[in-house]
Amino acid sequence: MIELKFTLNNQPQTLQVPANMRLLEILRDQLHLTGTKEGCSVGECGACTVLMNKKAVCSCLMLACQVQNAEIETIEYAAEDEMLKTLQDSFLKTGAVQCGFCTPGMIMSAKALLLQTLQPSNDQIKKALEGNLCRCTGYVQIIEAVQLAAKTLAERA
Amino acid sequence: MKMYKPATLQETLSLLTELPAKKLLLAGGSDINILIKQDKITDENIIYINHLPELHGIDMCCTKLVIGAATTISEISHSGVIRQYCPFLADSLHDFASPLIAGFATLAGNIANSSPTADTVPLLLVLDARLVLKSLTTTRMLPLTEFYTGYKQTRLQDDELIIAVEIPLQYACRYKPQYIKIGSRTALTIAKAALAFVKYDNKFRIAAGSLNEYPRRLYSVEEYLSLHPDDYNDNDLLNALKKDITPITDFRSDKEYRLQVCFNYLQKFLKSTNSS
Ligand SMILES: Cc1cc2nc3c(=O)[nH]c(=O)nc-3n(C[C@H](O)[C@H](O)[C@H](O)COP(=O)(O)OP(=O)(O)OC[C@H]3O[C@@H](n4cnc5c(N)ncnc54)[C@H](O)[C@@H]3O)c2cc1C
Ligand code: FES
Ligand code: FES
Repeated sequence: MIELKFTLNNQPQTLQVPANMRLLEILRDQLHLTGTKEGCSVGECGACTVLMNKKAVCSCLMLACQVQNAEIETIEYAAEDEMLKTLQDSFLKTGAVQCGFCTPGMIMSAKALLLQTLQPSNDQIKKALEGNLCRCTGYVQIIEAVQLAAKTLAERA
Repeated sequence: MKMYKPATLQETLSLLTELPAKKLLLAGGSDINILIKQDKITDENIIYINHLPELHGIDMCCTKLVIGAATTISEISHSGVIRQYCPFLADSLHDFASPLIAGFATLAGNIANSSPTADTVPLLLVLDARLVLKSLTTTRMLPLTEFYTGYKQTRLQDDELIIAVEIPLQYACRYKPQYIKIGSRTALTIAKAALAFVKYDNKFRIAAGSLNEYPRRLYSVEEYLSLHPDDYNDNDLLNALKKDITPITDFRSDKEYRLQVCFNYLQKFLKSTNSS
């Protein structure tokens, strides 16, 4: 067991967990934050995407010892965070959500991109989302959603 | 399984000396953490090293580029220094995994994992890259061409770790090496075949991935071409290639396709250097 200290959605957290427990399990099973999904568990689907120090990563491939002192953000932060909230609204407006299983991961990857650039090109959006699979939408509406969120945020800025 | 997070490099090297086998270094974890999850790694001593500052950073040192072992794939592809001195290395990593992996997968992890498909290795082989290996008592340089000895076998000693990768800039690096990865799609794909190629001073440096038990230079092809830089014939070139690679049939591809696609790209590279 290790004492794990990290920031989760802007709140300090201290937990006792096995050093090899995965971040995905810490979030879902220990903290009951089930917005982050488990798909493949091997880094190939992106359903488990969270932000770690502002970069999108697969939480299924992160162990507790790697998360020590890190800043983690999950989809639950959409309740407070303007960028996540705007992305969530845009996904709904453009019809980018069908079953919704990929959506939390898509939105976290999209936020990582918008933190880098508020005017992403289509190619930059595709590149940023290439690790997130969606079996329902065909991606077109998802790309539109990210464009719409970028536009909305730029207008507000 | 027991996990260690040493506070310093010195402590890491002491642990590597003192801990009994089986011990395993953990950097980004994109290879190992899957094995842990699948219970394929259970009784190892695991030493986490990613937080050690000595393993990070990209620097120009006289005539060489020094890349810290724990530098991530994204850091390499976005680095200004690498874009300036080795742009083809940055470009070659564009299709590495996906951004969700490339952001924490490390260079030394890719090399030391010793997969035949490791995407960073073929290009580093033609660039004459060297590994800086450190133990508690020694620091040594090993040419990457001598690192692998068999499938998942390397010359890394039990008490050593890779601390950096060095790329000399005065040779191949100046001549625009090329890298091609053949996969079934661009993102999240493991190479069915991969080829790195450079020609300079009428010498050729060519290396392949996914075509042998480990990524390696194609010495027979290089030798044949150095004797016939302008008058090579396809038959002899193919025969030389067959001496250098041992493609297999598996769930990703079959051996006939792998040989053919490698040969096609070899010809394409040769034409591109002859016309420029
Ligand atoms: C979904 C997915 C897609 C992938 N796509 C690709 C791809 O396109 N191309 C590709 O080449 N690979 C790919 N990989 C494999 C993997 O991401 C890479 O091999 C990565 O570079 C490994 O680095 P790491 O830091 O995560 O390694 P780890 O998992 O931490 O370690 C891997 C091995 O290296 C050893 N090691 C780590 N650091 C050192 C060091 N400093 N000194 C000595 N030994 C060390 C470890 O002990 C271990 O044996 C993919 C993996 C996943 C999960
Ligand atoms: S569950 Fe992590 S990438 Fe699929
Ligand atoms: S909406 Fe169903 S997987 Fe994307």
